[in-house]
This record gives sequence, C-alpha cells and structure tokens, in this order.
Amino acid sequence: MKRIVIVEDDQLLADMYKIKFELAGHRVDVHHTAELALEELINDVPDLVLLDVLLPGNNGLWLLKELHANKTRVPVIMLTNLAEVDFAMPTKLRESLGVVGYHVKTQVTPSEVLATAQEVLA
Amino acid sequence: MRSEIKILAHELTSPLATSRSALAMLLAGDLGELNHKQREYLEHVMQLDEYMIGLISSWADMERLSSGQVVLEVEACNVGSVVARQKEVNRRTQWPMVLADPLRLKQIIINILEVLPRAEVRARTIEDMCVLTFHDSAKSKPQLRTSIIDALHGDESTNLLGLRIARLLAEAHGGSLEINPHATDGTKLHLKLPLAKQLNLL
Repeated sequence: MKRIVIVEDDQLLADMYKIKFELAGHRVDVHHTAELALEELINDVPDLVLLDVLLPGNNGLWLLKELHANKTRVPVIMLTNLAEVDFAMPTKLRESLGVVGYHVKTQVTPSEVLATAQEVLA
Repeated sequence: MRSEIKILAHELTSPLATSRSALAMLLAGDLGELNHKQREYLEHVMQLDEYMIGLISSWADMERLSSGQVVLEVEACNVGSVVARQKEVNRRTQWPMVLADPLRLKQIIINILEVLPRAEVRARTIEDMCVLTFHDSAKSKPQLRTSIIDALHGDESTNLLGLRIARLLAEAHGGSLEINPHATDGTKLHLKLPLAKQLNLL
C-alpha cells in the first residue's frame, strides 16, 4: 500500500480519483488548495502526488516550487484541463521539480491515471 | 490565442472532463455492476461528451492558428512511430525522420486518420520533403471527397474541421496537405513535411 496525496479543487473529480486509488489498495488524502496541501506534503512526504495545475489561490506550479524550495522530493503527476500545447513545461524544469507525468484531464480516465501512477510507484 | 479564449476553452472542458471521468468509472464497474441498458445509455453519453471535447479542442486550435499564435517546437521525429501508435503499419518500412513539433505531428496524423480510418500509410522522400500518402482504397465516396476538398480549401462551413486544422498545421511546418485529384483507386491525401536533415540549417 502506498500513500497518495491528491490536490484537486474539483471535489467530484478528487473523490473519484480517491475511490479509484483506494480500490487499488492505496491510502489517499485529498486537498482542494495548494496552500492546505503544502504543510502536509512537507511534514509527511507521500509516495506520490496527483496535482491539478489551476487551483484557487496559488496554483500547482507554486506548490511545486515551494516543495522544491523546502527540499521536499516527491514524484508528482500533473493533471490539467489546459490543452497540452498551452502547458508546455520545459523538460529540465519538469525534472527538477519532480514531475514524472502529465495528463490532460479530458484525455484520460481515472483508470489511465491509476496506470501511470502504478508505473511510477513500481 | 487570445487569453480569454484559452480561459473559455478551459472553463468549457473542465465540467466535461469531470463527467467523462465519472462515466468512465461507472462503465468500468468501479461503483457497482451496470445492467445492459444502463451501460448502453452511459456509453452513448460518453460519446456525446467526447464529441463536445473534440469540438472545443478544434475550435481552440482554429483560434490559435487564425491568430498566428501557434508556437512550434520542432525536432527530428520518426514519423513511422507516430503513425504506428495510431494504426498497424508495415514494420519493415523505412520511415524518414521529419522536422516537426511532436505534439502537432501527432495531431496532424490523428486528424487525417479520423477522416480516413482505413487508409494505408506510405512514406517516400522528394528532395528535402517527406511525403506521406494516406490511401483509402474503398470505392469512391463522392460526398466524402467533396467534404475533404472543401475542408482543405478552407471552407468555413466544413464539417471536417480536424482536416482543415491538419492542413494549417502542415503549412505552419513548411509543408502541405493536399488531396490527389487524379486518384482513381479511392481517396489519396498527401502530407508533405520537411525532412529532418534540414535540422542543422536552423
């Protein structure tokens, strides 16, 4: 069993990912803002983070940079509704911030997100 | 693309992404077994959802292309591996490397194959260009042929918006997308893209 933190402001979507990952045997915590997630992620580093890009208040990139500044190293799968071409993140920046995957939410199902996560966690 | 259109596209797709995920979980049986009728209805709604997502994505792409805000990050791409991810190909074929933005190359190929899903894909090189031919050898379909010509010629009312986007993206790469007007054995589209050997000239 691995511990997953989901940072997603869409409550229904967060709930669905939580169910999907729990059915796969993982423990899941959900936060709806980057600010609320930050403290927990620093104090109790999970095995994987699913991180939405656009969040109320500070966004997902802010959270990544804060984690990096606090020397918290955790693999992150980014989720967004921005089109792939509107969210081009340079490879070096992505690697330095721990981003191991990137999904456009309209193009994946929870099963596919879980499959990516299982590969990262393996 | 104007930022308000980017935001609008995001706001339109967000609820669709959530409903698509919910439908996918229901169809996967994650929330309990479905009976035949429930499954049939949900699959239909899923198709509608994906249709709407596709429309919004095409509209946003047209806005990007019309406003000249398409930024291409070109690199040497194996065109064969892009095609092979979409359909069966002859693995012994020598596929040329082209100079393209990988995301956009994938989009061009997908958009063409949506119109000609059964097309056989072949590659050859002419001077500094790679020519990919998409050949659907099915009996002549005059209505489809007319729609393809309209889309490639920029008809605003085309129902093949994806093909029009593919043509504009091919041109943004310095290439082209044309229908072969002389083909008598079905429908042939020729996609031309610059070969990657030009990379050292950039």
